[in-house]
Amino acid sequence: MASSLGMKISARRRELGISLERLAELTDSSKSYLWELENRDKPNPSMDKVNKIALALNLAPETLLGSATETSQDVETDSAFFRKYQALDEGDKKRLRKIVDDWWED
Amino acid sequence: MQKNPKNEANKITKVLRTAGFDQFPIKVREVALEYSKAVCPEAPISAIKPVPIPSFEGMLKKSPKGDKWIIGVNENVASSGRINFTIAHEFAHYILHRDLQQDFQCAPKDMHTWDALGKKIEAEADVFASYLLMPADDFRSQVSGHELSIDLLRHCADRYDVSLTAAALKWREIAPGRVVVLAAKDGFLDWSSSNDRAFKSGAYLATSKQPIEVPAASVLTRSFRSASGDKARVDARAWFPKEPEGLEITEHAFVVEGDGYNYTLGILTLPERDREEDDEEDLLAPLTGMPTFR
Repeated sequence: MASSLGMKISARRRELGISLERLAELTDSSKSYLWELENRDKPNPSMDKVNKIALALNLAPETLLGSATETSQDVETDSAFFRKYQALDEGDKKRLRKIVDDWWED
Repeated sequence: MQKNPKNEANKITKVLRTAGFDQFPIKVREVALEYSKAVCPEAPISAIKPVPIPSFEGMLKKSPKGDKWIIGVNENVASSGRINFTIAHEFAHYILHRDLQQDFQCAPKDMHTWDALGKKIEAEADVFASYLLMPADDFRSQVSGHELSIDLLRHCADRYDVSLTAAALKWREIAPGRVVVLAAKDGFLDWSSSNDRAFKSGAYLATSKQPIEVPAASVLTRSFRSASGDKARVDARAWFPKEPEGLEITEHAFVVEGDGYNYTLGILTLPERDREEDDEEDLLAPLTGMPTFR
């Protein structure tokens, strides 16, 4: 599964209409490296790489890195099966928790 | 006690047929609610609720009191075929895995085990969903005597109300020869799934090991949106260097587009090969990634 950094890069690249090939050129990376970064849960790249990608995508490096804290399974996974739960960011996890809590109200 | 996903799905299909409730597409919502009530009245699936969060797909959750379960599904972004498959997938967790609960609570300590177990139960739920929505005998009667085409798969996808990709993965299972279904994204393979015959002959693509680029000769590099897809023939060795000289693969390609995902679905049919012996090493490396049926 893609990391949240990877999803941000991919979404922004598509938004700007830049091909994977072009982004590879702009950031001195190989196509396969960038593809893995976008689509797989790869360890974070070097700061130098993040800066180059951010520059090419016209973003601040902080925007790319964001609060991508991948929290491990916590309370709400105890008795649930999720699909792609890890891909949700903190805000969405909170919204999900709220929705689920309401299910048991009545 | 391990439950076999195919057997459990077939068992439900038999019940539906006996009850005359087996018209296609299967009404998966009603089936999940009614069947769970019948087999486990003390903790049935009591509802299927919408969860409108982007990037969320589906979940199965037990109530705090333990007296019922609820399926949550995102109905906003996906096609009805994907929604159906998600509900069938969550229903599968209920049928196959709800008694394994204790195991999950222990698992997070050991991420490696969690990961392997997590992958296994996800794959099992997909198999169950595939058989529940597309029983093998009915699927076979739909496709037998027909050449593979995107139109044929479209017919199946409509009949069972599943995605074209789910229908293609089913066809791969039913088809007599060697078949590899794969998804390409930005020129690389996102996942790939060989049927048993293809796998045993060494025709598989280990997408989880490293990025695999789509060969330049493949129709997948140039396919564009069209309702009936693209079809071409390519030297088998463009995909699988170990195939004998002179063999050709038939490729079908179809561009799948959706909210937040798009990829080119590829179906490779390889000619029969009578070679029996295989490298042991090949058989020990089933690293072909996780197909997604959506």
